[in-house]
Amino acid sequence: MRTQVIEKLEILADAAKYDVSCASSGGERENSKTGLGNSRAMGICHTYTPDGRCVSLLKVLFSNVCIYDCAYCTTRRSNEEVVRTAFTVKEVVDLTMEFYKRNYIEGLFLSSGIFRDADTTTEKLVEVARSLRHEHQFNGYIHLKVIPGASTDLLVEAGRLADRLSVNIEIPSERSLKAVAPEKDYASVIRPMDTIREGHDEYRAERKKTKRAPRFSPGGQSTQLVVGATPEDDRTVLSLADGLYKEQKLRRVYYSGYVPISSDGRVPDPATYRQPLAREHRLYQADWLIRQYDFSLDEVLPAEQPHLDMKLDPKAAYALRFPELFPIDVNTAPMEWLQRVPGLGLKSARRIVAARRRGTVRWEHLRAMGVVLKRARYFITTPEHRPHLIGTDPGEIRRRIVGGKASGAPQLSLFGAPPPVVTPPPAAPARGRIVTPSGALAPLASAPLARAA
Amino acid sequence: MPAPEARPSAPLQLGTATYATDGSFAGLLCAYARAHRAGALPAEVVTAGQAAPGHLFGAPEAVETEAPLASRMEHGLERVKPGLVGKLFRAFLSERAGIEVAILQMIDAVAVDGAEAVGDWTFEPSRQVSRWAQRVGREAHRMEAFVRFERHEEGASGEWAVAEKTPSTPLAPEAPVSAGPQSLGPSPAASGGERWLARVRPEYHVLPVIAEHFALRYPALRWTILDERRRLALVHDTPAADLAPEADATRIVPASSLPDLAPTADERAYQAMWRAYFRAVDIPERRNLKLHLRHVPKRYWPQLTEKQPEVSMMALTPEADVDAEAISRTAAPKPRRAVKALGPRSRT
Ligand code: SF4
Repeated sequence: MRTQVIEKLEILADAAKYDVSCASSGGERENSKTGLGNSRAMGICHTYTPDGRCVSLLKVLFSNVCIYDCAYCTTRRSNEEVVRTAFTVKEVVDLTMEFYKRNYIEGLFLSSGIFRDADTTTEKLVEVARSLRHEHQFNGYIHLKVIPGASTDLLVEAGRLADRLSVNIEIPSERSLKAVAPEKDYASVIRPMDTIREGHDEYRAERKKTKRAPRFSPGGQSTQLVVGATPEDDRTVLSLADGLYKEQKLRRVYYSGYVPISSDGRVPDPATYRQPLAREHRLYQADWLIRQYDFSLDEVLPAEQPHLDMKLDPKAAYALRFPELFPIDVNTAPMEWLQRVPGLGLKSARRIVAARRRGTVRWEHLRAMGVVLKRARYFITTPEHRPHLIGTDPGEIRRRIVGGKASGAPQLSLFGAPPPVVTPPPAAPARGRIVTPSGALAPLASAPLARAA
Repeated sequence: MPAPEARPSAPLQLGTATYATDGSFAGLLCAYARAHRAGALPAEVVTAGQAAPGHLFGAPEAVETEAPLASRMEHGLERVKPGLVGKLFRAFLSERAGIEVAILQMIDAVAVDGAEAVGDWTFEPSRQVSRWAQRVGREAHRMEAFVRFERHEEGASGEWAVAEKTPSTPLAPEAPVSAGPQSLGPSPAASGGERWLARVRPEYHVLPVIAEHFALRYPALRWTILDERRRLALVHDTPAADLAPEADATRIVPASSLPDLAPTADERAYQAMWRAYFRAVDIPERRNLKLHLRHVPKRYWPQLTEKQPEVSMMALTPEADVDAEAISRTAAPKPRRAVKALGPRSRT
């Protein structure tokens, strides 16, 4: 029986590994005296794959039998090369419990091929979660990937049991989605998202009144976008993500560089396709700036430049697009501005603010504070450091950061024509007004400055 | 803080004295009170009874550990800056030479300047304390991730030997861990039960830091985390075990007091399943060994189930129903030792 489980693990973990949404975070679940496990706001990576991805959950498909035919997926019905199999509920429960007790995992991420209809499939996933929670007092993390089109009742029960639910959009435009996954459309994804958001909002509101309000997916919901399988540009991908953060209040959008697992004619040919690893990385950086650093989508990626600069991190690219806002003085600039400096993170910005209350921050202090001087040096001033390049030759800064030969093409387009419409950044360092690259004067928004004081 | 009504206005200077404490964190806090009375910080803090070769400044002055004083200081420090005691404690657990004095300097800076001294990285002791607290914290976090429990059976000889000697383990200021003699007193003789055992070799003394995490995670299991480097074990018993009710369920004991343990029959099968899972989630097209090693430094590999070769399973588990062919097909590649690393020079 164990050999069989090992074989199933090999097949059903292999099929689930391309789904990157696994970070177990965002749901607090306290343990009871007799229960097993808890889940903390910060998920733990218990190990890392040889390619450096975090393994925090037992991530498997319940079954890889599927009636759909999505071109980007190994599990698609037309793929005759895979062996089809399925776990039993008991097997998944047992694996989860035993792995958890050995401290291999934080919990379970369960998804499945659609082996009959949406409800039959979702019911199996819910059954696993039900058994773990009720029969085994399992308080670790459970993430269920619900099947588009599942009934509201099942979604509600799933939400009661799981820490997080997700419905994957996968393809960043509906037209492309229809082309590669004929059975799917955006509506079948958005509808369950709506249900989950409503359930979650309700739970949050109830929880304000009483601590004992029944949980509903306390870790919110997430989704995944596959990039590279279809031709959408970065701006399309990020604006879809931005919209999802705002409208569906998603916790995370995951970007997954398409891995050529399929020789189906509807997706890129594995023989010539190169995985967009750099692109995936830059998308996460851009996403991070929007979610954590209060950048707007337009600041990170103006409409006229639909592609992220692959050689330069998006924050440095932003700074070089607005050279007149820099350099900023580390001894006077508000927190909002410090965190906009390339090479400065939230932590080092906070350290600067703490240190300057007790005295002047000098150049030699910065490295110890965790500032990446190689990057930041062009954008900040201290009493002994006054960079000039930003005012005279921002193109040279790009060449120095990127390093190597100064191959001309991309940076020329960066500084060629000033973009016509630019949303003004929230505040400028100790200047009344800021000049946007188009030459127009933008009034200074005062709110963020007041917050910093 | 001592004498809060007379808040010191100038920082204490480093003096020439050597203090000898009992090696606990509470003892170090009491050392600050003493330095405050003396008007100067010590040049060195040593643990009484431990040979401290070549300290320069005469005979060490013994510092008495007064628990009430230490806990008053902890409260005072926490009032000034929540989380500060934990940070000082973590730095202390780094066991680095000179860290005690840096901690005293930092406490003094906080006494003079208040909370802001903590985040001020232009002040060398602050930086030292922060850096070491961070490293210890990082290793503790890694331990929370990389500890691997194995299901064991306590042998018939599984009596808890009473420790002859109190371990010189510093107490966690807020964690429910106690290593005092009182917790070793009533030795629970719960033999023959299931016990989950993990072996680790952390660089720093992180057991007190990780205790709470595992106590919350596995309250109903009986588990032991054995620090093989320091020969200390973090032990957790369930309330069902015949522990005196007032004794702490989680505590640190010398490794010599542990009962005999033997892995259960199903243990290897679950380890094999975990390795199968680990192999299955790899995406060979994306291999990035440099990144992998940054996340999982080599020194942790010996304790990681997924990094162990597969072969031992058949040899040691009679009922393991895995055929030899399946094993050789799926066995993890043997770590290849570069003979060259020794260098030809050493031989010729
Ligand atoms: S429905 Fe899911 S499992 Fe089935 S082919 Fe599409 S992506 Fe793959």
